[in-house]
Amino acid sequence: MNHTYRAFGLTIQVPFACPALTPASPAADAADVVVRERPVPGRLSARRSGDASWDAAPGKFLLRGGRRSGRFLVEAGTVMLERNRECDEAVLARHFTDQVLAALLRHRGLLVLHANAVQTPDGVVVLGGASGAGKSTTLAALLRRGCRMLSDDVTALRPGRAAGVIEVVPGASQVHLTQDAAEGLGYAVSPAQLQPWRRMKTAISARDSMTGQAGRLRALYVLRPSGGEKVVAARVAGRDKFLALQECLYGPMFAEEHPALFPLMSAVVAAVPFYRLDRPASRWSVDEVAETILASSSADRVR
Amino acid sequence: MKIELRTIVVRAPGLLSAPVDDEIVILNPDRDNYVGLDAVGRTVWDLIEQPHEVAELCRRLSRDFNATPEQIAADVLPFLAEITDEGIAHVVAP
Repeated sequence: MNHTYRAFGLTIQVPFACPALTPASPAADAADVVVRERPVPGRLSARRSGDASWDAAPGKFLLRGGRRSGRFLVEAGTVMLERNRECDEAVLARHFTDQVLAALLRHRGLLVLHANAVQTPDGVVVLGGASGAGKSTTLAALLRRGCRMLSDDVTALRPGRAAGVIEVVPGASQVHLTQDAAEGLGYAVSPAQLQPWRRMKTAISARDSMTGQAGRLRALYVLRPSGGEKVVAARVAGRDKFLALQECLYGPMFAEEHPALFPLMSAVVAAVPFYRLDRPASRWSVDEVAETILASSSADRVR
Repeated sequence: MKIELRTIVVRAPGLLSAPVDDEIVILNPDRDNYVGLDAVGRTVWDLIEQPHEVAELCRRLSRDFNATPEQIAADVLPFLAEITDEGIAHVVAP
């Protein structure tokens, strides 16, 4: 049975249910992407990057999801799936929304970041940083302050209609939190919700907090734990903005793909301020981080 | 790369660049790296869009920045050596 969803600005038809994506009407929306069930090779012959579970080459991405999933091939903006015999649709859905969609968006020319995005009263703020930097915890803290969610983990940017405007498109409606972070923010977590494949993170539905509309990007923050005692936001300038943006890219970027992405990267760098936001690694500081981001975004809006 | 006053330099072809804050940032696709140039570097960069002899560059910059050509040369020669090493400028002659 096919299911139709709206995510990252695309109407997507998939042959399994994806609870983290927003349902769309198949009659009203012609699909931009149809995931088709076809034989998929076990390896990419031209593999340039990857690990035990995935291969990548310019314009191609292959995910080997394991016994309970299947193999996905993303190529030329299309997606093919070959299920494994013991495939579990919940695992297929997770692989699709976490990794396959990110590759698809890249191949369709969006700037895809390993980052979260949230609509604040002053516009959209993107939160980047390495794994463990506190992106999802900060996102959840901002949602608790009345902000609206656009994406967690996979964030996609595109040029807006007006010159100098970058838009962030709404993605999947789940926030992935560690048990400590979820409890610190007041979410009740049952052991059954913990996901061993995501370092015991729990997926919390944020459907009620989602915004259905793309929003204008206002600032990008790269979070990192530090040895200091205070939360400090330092503005990034010039070439360092490109380096910060490169740090946030989702998946490998091959040298030959870089020139095609450069105009959009340049537009992002020119459009909004970037900050490196250090937070104390030794203590719970997410409330200060959230307040710093809100105050800084408000000040940027006034400038 | 040894750069002297009689050397003629020009930008490498096929580069991508973008103004960012007070800098210009250049992507060299051959090396897949970024180079950032400040306001003075940017002035030199604009001039070497066409081949220029280093001595002539120094005379132009000495007028713009109110310094002697010798003072300018002391900064410009190592700067040009750096950007040719980075692959974003080439020596045309001698």
